[in-house]
Amino acid sequence: MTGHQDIYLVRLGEITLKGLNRGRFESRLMDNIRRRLRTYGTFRVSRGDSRVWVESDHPVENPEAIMEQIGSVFGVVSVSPAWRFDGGQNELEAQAIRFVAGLLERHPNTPLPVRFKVETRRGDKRYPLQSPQISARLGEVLLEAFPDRLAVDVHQPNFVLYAEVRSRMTLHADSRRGQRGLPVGTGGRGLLLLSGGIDSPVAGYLMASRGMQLEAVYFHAHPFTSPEARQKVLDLAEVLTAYTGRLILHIVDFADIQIALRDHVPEELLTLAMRRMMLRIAAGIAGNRMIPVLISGDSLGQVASQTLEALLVCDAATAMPVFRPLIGMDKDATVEIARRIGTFDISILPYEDCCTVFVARHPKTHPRPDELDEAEHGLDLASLRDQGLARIETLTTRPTGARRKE
Amino acid sequence: MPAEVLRVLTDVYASGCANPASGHQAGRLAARILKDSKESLALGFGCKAEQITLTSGATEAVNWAVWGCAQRPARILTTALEHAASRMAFDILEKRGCQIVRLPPGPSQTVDLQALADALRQPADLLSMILVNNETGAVQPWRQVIELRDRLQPRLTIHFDAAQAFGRLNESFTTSGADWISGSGHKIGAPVGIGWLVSRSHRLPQPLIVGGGQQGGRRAGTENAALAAALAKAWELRKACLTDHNDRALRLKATLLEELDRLGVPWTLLAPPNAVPHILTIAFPGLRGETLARALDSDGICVGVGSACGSSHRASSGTVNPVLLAAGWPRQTVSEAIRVSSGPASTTDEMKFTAQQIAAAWRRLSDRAPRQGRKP
Repeated sequence: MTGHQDIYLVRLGEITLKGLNRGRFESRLMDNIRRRLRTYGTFRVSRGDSRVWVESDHPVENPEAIMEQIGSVFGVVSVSPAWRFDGGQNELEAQAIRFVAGLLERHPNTPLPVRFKVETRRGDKRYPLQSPQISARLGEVLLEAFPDRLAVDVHQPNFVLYAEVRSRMTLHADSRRGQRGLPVGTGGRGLLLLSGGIDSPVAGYLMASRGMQLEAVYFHAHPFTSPEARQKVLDLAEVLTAYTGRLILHIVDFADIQIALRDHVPEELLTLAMRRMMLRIAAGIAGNRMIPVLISGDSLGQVASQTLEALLVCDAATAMPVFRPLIGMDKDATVEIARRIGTFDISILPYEDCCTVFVARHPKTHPRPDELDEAEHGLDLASLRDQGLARIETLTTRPTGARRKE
Repeated sequence: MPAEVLRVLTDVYASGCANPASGHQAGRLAARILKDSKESLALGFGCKAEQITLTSGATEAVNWAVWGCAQRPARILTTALEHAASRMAFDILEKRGCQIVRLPPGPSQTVDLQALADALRQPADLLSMILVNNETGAVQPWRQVIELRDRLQPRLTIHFDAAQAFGRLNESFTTSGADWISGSGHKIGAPVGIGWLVSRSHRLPQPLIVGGGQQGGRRAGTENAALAAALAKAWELRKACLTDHNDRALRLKATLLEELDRLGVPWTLLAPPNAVPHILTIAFPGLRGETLARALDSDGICVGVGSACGSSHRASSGTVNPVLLAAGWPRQTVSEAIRVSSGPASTTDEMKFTAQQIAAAWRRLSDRAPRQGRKP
């Protein structure tokens, strides 16, 4: 009996519906998988049969971690660990017994007998047995090998053993759900306004899930805001890299701009004036980086600065479009995603960001655009924006947790 | 920490001493160092070595005193001006059914003696109070407190949390008539990680930490001879320069305030006139204390916001220092307060520099500072 090769079978969803562009989407997805696995060893990533195959030429030390990495790449619907080997029917049966033995060992808590069925796909039409015959034969062999532990159930099985008979043989059974969506890099680039809150990381995640490649900007106002608040944003960025890949984070020193705004703008309009200035600076950064769109975590009506009028007043400050993927979402739904992607526990740490330091007791909820223009009158907006653009620290965070100053 | 204290610490660690309870040579060496250190400390405190129990710090000593008398549904008298070490313990005891009487502060931010006298008319199990307030430096009228106890309820146990008092007040609390007195090593120049409870008699709280029966069963856990030796050395040094230290602290306080006046920065001192000068809780209008503290931190100046022991829980706004509120200061002023502490190594130049950095930060950051072009 010869050995087998450990491989991973990656299923694609939406991408397979693409027409002439499909190759581009698949190439990007394969690139993203390669990049994600770089620190785990050498892997060969290829496509075939509407799926992507990840092969390792060496024994994999931590298959769970590999599965997790592949599963977190947008565009992946599911991923299964699989065995690949050469040989005929005898080899297939022998490998199936070993494969199922391993499976039973990994799931010791499933009540006995474990119910299963076999499904076969026969790509090699010259193979002497037909698909149903192969399935039936494998079923028999497995029942013989594990008489007390297995029972066939084609309707509600605990696991399905998939056998694929092509130029080489493949066995796989359990799969892990992927993030779905589209591969990052196929949907253009966007600059995410990242605060320490719950919403903005989720907004970034959602845009990345549609294939957008992100950079992020954070407005830090030392000494009004604490080093802990800054660290929190770095930690959030690091969690996001699990989905977005490498993430470039621009940290703007906002304190003096905030002081200038506070000195000039009536208290009830201060938050909006601050947000307008942040959008102007963000648009400046995006322009310099050839990024055409901003992303923010606003949800309609959530706080005073997120009423329709307030959002429109903010958008009036810059010509660059602002995407708001959470605009129609309830907080509960956002929180659910934040929990699932692992940003929630960081987001709820109690460190203030610069939006909450100077919050007014009665902020204006229905501002008119001319009110803001009037409030900003006398401020040299262009020079304040340039001041922000001149005080930027840029960090690159990678999925490995490595962080580098640009 | 003074260099001599550090040297004692490293010398003892380097001497190869071991667990003082071990019978071998290295253990006996540790036991001797420990015994000498406790005796030297006792000499300095004006008590006997057996009266001293070493702990991991003042928090443990205070906890021990508070928990140790709460075996039954106790009635405990304390003040509204306590450090979190006892305040939190009392909050828990109250939930468990003890009656906690928190005496209000009088006009000088010290305990209202009339209220204390009234409370003493009913039997109580413990009177526990902080001797020098860690936020304001206010000194409790402890002699009057003991007199009242002696007159109205002579059998009542008194515990003084003296963490801020040792090494600052030139008094011998150990002979004051208080039953239990707790203190902290790092407040007198010893390393962090050691504190003590001095008891007047054999009457002691129930042990908080049990195990190998160390320190006569009062406090279990292997004793650290090196820390004990460093503590004894630190106390010896501090005691010798106590008057100097206090005079210097007074001068440093005056320097800071004069320099602030010269620079035109308005300030409010959140301390009564009798406060020890080493702790300076001071507020600047229109500038939050934590913001100022962060600005000064960037300049290499370490100041406190509230009490350092509690400020990690105060990262967000909305929670302001309960002791300063209890002392009667408005919420706004309390949120604007920082605490400047001076030690034996602080200098006049450092104080001037601190005042200048405060002035610079206040002019830039405060919304009450005069700045060009500000809205009216």
